[in-house]
Amino acid sequence: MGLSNVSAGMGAIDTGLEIKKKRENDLVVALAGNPNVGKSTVFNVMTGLRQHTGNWAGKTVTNAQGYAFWGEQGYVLVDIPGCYSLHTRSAEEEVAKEFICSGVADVVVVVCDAVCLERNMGLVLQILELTERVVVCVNLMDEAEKKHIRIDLQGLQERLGVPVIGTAAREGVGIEAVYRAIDEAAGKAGNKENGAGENRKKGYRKKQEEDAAAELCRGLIRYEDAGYLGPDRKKDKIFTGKKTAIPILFLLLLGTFWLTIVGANYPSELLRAFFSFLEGKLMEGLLYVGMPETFREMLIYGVYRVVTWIVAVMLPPMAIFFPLFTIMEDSGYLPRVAFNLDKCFRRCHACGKQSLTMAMGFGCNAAGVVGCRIIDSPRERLIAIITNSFVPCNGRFPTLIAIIMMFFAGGVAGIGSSFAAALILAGFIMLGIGMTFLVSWLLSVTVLKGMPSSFVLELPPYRRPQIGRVIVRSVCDRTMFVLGRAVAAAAPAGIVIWILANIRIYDRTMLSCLADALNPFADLMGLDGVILLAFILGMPANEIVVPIMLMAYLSQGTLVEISDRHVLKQLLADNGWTWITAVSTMLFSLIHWPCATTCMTIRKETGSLKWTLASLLIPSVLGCILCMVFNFVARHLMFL
Amino acid sequence: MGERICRLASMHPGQRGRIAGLHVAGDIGQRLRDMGFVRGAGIECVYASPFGDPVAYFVKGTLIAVRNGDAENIEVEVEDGGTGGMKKDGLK
Repeated sequence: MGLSNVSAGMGAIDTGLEIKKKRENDLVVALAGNPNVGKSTVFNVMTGLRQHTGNWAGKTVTNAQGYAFWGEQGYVLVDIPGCYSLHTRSAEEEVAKEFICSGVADVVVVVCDAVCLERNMGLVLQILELTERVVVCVNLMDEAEKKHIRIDLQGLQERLGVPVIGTAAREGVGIEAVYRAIDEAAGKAGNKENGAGENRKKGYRKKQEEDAAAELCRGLIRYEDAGYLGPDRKKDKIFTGKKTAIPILFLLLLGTFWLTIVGANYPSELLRAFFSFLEGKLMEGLLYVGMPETFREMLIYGVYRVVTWIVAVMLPPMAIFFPLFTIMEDSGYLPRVAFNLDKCFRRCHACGKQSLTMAMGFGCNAAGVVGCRIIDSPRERLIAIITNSFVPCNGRFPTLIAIIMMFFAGGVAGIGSSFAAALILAGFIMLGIGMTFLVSWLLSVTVLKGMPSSFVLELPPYRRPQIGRVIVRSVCDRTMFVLGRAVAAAAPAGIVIWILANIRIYDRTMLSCLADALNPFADLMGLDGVILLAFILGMPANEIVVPIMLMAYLSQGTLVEISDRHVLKQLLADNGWTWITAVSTMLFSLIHWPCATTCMTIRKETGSLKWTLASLLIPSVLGCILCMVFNFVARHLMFL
Repeated sequence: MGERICRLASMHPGQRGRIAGLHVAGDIGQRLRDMGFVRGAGIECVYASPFGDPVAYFVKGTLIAVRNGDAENIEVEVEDGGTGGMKKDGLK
């Protein structure tokens, strides 16, 4: 779930890269390299930016740009997606190749992984055929040292004929030397080649079938500890073991949900209390500056209440869920999930990497859709894009949690209640995953016929997550970004809803007229007109579905201040909610049309209106059917 | 230390060898070559996933998961005597 300002939401729709130089003599530096060698970390350290990083191949799928100063010189750094070679195969590698070949960059820094340097050399040799202005940055030297891998950097530099710098970007080691080497490489005239370069070209430019990289590295790398992979293998025995892998996956999922639910409860209440206190003060303030009543009410009851409701409900679960998830991502566990589940996906004629894009979908479906670029085959990529919205994104997650807590876990106190809630939530997620498999399979045997093509995935070494940085990064970047987007969508929606709820036609508000019109159909699905209307009006952002619902239920036309859950439940019960309504609402929340941002991203990624409509209609129709079936069965069981 | 040629897919966890031939066509073949599956490269079968497919191989310092269907088309010169995935890449 690569969420950052660059890769999520509206930003996910990248419109090509425009190099933004601040001064005429600024150097344009491209950062290239194999996936998962810490390129984004090097980029962040060099620029001071916080491009999202994670321990798996395919983290960065679009070019990111940053600006840095070192000494007197300004640099425009471009973080290009990781690629194994320039014989491009997949969409994100195409982005990388295009940029390197365009010649826009003054210098290309090729970031390599010290732990598997030989494999990285293939790309270095290919880039050297395009340009001489190259700096080889051997990153993760600290990790190599821990594994007792000794690398002769000087020897490598002599053989390659370009500067080779050892770095440990996470610790900030070696970055200055990289800048010096960039200056040096930029000063070198493009057409003059030194002796070593010529040497190299003769020596290592061979047919790709043969192992040029191995020849290049011969004698330069020493493995002093033959058992350095031992600890990783032990972990793999647990995380990918025949008997343990699936139970551990389920327990991790359950544990994450449980911590999120338990941890989010108290701060949520506090925030609500704080916002309702603030509301009184704001109202007084607006009265004091003499704002007309209509505007005042629209601002406070329309915008303020919707926005603060979203913050109070969404912020705490996100602030807990995202760091937990980032830890899993940083540790190297996520690719193992793809590895464990690939066979299930293959059965559905899909690709195991789809589990990675689904994981991204937990954060934001739009980000998940962009992430689908890591899937090589266009057919399988399309399947992953269409099914991505079956994973509840962060906008729907709190809705599910809130309904579960109100209707299914309220009776039991303490730990039992939160555990039951986590179990029910996990059940719904499982249903979403099940629907993903079902729809993937259905698509594969009908409109998207074809055999599963391939699955080649690197399983990175386990790395200890940097807890402190994880928290800062996931709270500051992801949480605030998603929240910002939600608020940006909710504020205007708040106004629209307020207007709908306050303009009257023959004594009835427009909101209730619309709701009544939807009622017969909604009733079939176990919902009511208000709920269905809330889902429709909530299209810009799923976060506002519940606020709209509440606003419509309250005849006074504004979102009442609802400080605790019992009042909320009473309100819903007064409006005819039963456990059947609750389950139906949750089902429909899990399976319905993707939000507007996701739809736009799908349009951009697939380049086809047809497939965008398909990804809109398939979950919508399925959601309606599922709700109707559930409603039919549940009501008949009730009367038995 | 006798050596014999077999398919990558028939290797057992712990077995090591060298890649003798890659008969995978198209994009996936290119992808495998880019990731270090080239003739002469040392390879070790490390472990299978819980459902038996794909299998993780240690090539050029990294673990790479490959589906059995693709591994069928890769030829390996197998060395005798596995090491249980604890040893370095086969650099002799």
